[in-house]
Amino acid sequence: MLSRLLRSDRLAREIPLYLMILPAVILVAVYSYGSMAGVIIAFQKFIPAKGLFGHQKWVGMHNFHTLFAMPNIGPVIRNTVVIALGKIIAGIVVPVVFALLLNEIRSLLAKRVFQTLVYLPHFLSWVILSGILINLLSPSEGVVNVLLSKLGMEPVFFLGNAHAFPPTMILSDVWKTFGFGSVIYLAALAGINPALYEAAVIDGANRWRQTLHVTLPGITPIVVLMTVLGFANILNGGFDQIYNMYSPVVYSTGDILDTFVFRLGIEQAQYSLSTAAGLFKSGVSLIFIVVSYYLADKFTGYKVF
Amino acid sequence: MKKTNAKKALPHVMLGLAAIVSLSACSSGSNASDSGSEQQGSASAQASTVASPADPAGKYDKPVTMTWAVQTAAASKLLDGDTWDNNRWSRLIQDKLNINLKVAFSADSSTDAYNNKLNAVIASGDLPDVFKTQDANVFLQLAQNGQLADLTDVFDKYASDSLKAYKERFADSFKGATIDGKLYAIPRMNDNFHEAPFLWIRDDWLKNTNSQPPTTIEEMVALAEKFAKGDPDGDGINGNTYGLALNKDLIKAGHGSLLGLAAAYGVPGYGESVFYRDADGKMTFSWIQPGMKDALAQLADMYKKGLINKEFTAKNESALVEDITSGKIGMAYGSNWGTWYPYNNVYKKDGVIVRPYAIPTKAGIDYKIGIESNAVGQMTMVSKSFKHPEAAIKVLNLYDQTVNYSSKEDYLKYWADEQYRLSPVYIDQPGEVYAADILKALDKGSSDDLPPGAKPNYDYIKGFEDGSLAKDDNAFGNWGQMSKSGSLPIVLNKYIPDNALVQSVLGIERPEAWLTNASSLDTLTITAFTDIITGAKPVDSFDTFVKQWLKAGGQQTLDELDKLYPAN
Amino acid sequence: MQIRTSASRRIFLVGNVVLLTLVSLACIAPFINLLAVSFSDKTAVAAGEVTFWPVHFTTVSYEFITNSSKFFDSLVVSLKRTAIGVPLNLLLIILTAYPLSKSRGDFRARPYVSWFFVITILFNAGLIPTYMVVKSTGLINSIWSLLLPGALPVFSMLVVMNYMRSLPKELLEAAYIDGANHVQTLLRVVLPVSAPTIATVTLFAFVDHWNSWFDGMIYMNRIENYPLQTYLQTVVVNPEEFIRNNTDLSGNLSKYLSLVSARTTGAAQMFLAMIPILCLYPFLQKYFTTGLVMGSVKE
Repeated sequence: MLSRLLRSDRLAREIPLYLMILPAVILVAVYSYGSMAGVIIAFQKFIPAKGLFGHQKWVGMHNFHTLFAMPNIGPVIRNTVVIALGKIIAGIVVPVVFALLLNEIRSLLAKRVFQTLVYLPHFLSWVILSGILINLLSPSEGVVNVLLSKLGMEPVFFLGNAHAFPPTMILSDVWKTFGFGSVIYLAALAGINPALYEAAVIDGANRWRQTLHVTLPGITPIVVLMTVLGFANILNGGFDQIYNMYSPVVYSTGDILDTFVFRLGIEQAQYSLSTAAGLFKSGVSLIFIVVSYYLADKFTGYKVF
Repeated sequence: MKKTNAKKALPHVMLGLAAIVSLSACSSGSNASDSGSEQQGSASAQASTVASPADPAGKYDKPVTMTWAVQTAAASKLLDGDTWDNNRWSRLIQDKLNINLKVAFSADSSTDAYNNKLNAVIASGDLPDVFKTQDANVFLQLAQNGQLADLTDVFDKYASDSLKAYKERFADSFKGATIDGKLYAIPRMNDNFHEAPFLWIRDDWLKNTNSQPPTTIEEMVALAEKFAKGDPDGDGINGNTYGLALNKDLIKAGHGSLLGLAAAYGVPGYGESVFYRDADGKMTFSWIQPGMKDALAQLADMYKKGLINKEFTAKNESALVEDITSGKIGMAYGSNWGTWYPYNNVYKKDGVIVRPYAIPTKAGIDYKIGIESNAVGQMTMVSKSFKHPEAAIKVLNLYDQTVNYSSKEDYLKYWADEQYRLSPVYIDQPGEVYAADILKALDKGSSDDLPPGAKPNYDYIKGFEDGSLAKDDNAFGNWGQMSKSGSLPIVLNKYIPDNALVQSVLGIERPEAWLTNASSLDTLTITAFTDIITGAKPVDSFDTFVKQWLKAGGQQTLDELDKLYPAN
Repeated sequence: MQIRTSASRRIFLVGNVVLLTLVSLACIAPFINLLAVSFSDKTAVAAGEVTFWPVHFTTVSYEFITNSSKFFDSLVVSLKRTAIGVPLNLLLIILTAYPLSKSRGDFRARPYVSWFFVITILFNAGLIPTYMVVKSTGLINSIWSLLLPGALPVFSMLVVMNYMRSLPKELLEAAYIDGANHVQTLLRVVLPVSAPTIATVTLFAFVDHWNSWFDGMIYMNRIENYPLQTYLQTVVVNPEEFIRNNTDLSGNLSKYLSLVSARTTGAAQMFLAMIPILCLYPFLQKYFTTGLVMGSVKE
């Protein structure tokens, strides 16, 4: 009797909490879980007129067979991984180096000025950044190529040449993200115990040795962590960026899974095929995410959730 | 909502009466209606206006709502405060037919945006009542999935005699809109001969460089050299102009394509769709012809010499237009409508005429010009869920009446300046198909024998030539297209007599292999050609391209087409 | 502390400052170029003469934009979107984070609900199914299609939840003993002390809504309903279209054609779209930094 009362009291205390989460639960159930259920069309010959959960013809794995028989699926996966990998690596190396260099600046004002300048691209959309890059990198009128030609070099078709396109994507991604990406490393640097440096000085270590023996070991865990977490993104080549800058000429090296899914689904109206490709990406990504989160927990004790 | 509709309906019923009277008046030969005086009406005449159901010009008793998809495109503009929701056509259609137009969606049809939006809307299963596509695959899919209204009966029942005459005249086009004996769309009514390419050259540049229009590829290259290295625009700077302009889509129709150059090498190409039987009766495809290798070698050579705009890989047709307008480009292969767009801008800005010439040819090679089957082109479809499919035919009747059988003012108001695009259903491009008739009429000096749809073209050409319409966009457009110095007479008097036209067999029945792979084959082609032209790959990589093309679904397409379209 | 600076150290320090200065300037240079282009004469731009300072200074590109109803329509849509979207995000974040910050004893469903939300980060259903769900809830072409599907930003919610969890237990217990219910506790105790985190996620939400373009492109059926970034995307993809759409056939065409180009007007529009971000930039910098560190480096 008492326990029941207690329980109902507890429940009464919990009811407002349930009510609070209810709106979010409903919205997420409809929009996230509803669309998750919608991936069934990857296994159907989907005819839109019959509706998402209508009486569609089931075709098993047929769409996946068609998908993997397509001549461009191989290059698309390769491009995705190449571009994503480039971004992951550059997205760690450059911010770490930048943080280390910035950390050597003693003047607080100078530090702030540098930070203010390099953080800016992070807050702007790829639409605007792409617009800027397209103009900047234009072979005939872009400032970059005008400067190159003044230096007596041949103009480079950054966005129109299959060899130049992936590096251009990686570098422009670095431009957008490195400044802000360094925030974490700066925080880690600030967190290194000053006593360690003092001890090193007493041992006669110069700045370089201090960096080697105190600073680097101090930020190693966070670098490891960010690397491991980065692999969760191995299939994210960056849709917003690439979609706004690519063209058929660079499909051979620049077409990634997300743009491919978009073109299949929206430009070519192959709804089932597109969903199959999307499901493939989500499935593989899920594995990478789970593994990388597990490794993060295992090696650095960091729990994402 | 309901209330407002009922209130609104009253004056419209009145207007309908006036409309019927005025329409019958104009078809019997007198002057057209004056729509201005119809704006006021009393509600008393309501009962007498009920039209019989099968009356092609009849007005609905109760307002019918028709949703439609708007293609906003390069040239379509809203004038005089019109909006997409409330404009000359929506008002006319409401007044005369009691049909309320409602925009289902709008998107830019000069990029992928319209196509993308339509596909998203198709995915949602919620089609507009009336909509258009240029993509035969979309049309085919929708028809096969049973999402389109069968227009066979409503066309027979509601189409005016004039429309029925179009159906006879453009039987091929209507065949393309017919699947399993059922008419599923209003097709673009055309004879595709006008798809042939031309070489467009600025008058002033020819003069400044003391040159003659080129008739051979060699002369064309020499002229390109003068244009690129010399000072054709006379600004005192050598080399700030282009020789031959290309755009990045290369094989797609439009300005800056390579169609005209390929044609000189016996390659009848047009976009992704020219399949034909070669001299031996074997089914083949334009872009894999051996002649294409030589054409690409020629372009690669020109590119290396700096005779082609270096950054063409980054410019689509509309980006090229900017260079054309600003006077950096003086020569490009292009389509027949050059004086409508983009060269009208040059004419307006600099007063300079850019003129079409027959494509220069290569000695020892029979040039071949590829055109699509008459059966393909823009389709205007009606959703199966639309309760009044006949409304589409009624709008088409009204369109035909207003544009082709009424006054000059109505023609100017409802057709000119691309205003016809505001009608959800229109007769697509009647002008060009009358090129031969107009030429005859120009010889005779009288437009009396011309079909009504062609008379305004004649007047415009005359007006441009005698200077009375020298500043008129429509006059310049028509003149450059259908006068004796225009583009289409080149087809009629040269390409056709030379037996150069090769028409694709690819109608609306399409092999599965092609439906799945068309887009990737297309990309493969453009990429391979771009690489060869820019020198990224050697000319010999063309052979690899052919192999890849055949392997990636091309051979299968050819085999299936062989069966689908047997040789007769 | 006295550290003797060696010669090599001094060289390094100078080199470091030079390097960082160059890098920082390189980062910002494209924006300076954008601004310069937007205020330059079109011929100078086409000739590649404009680098960091306007050549033949003119404001004609900005004047030209004032003719464009599309730019202003989309600006209004974006303002509306952020005005509704940001508060909506916040409301749901707070309402969700608070219960989830409770201990399992206080809120028994907590682990299940947490996973319910976290799974949505892990697995993405893809384009077509999402579109069809949005369509079947009737949101196509409505501003709510830009607001409801992402109404709960799960990452931000987790940040706030973690913060609330880290609050001292005594604080909440005191409120409980005073007889405060959950709503009162949340409003009077939890929210006031969570202000910095709330500020962070507010800015997240703002930047997110302001910068989103893809959903507008997919869900909006009318060009007039495009948010600013979606509209700008059409300008980026097809720059010449803007010039054509905004010059009437008769008079102004030639006048403007000789003054503005797709590049100058495009630059002007992009710069205008950056202004809200630039205005909030000091706050963004401050709070994003704390937010990022909070979200990523947990104790």
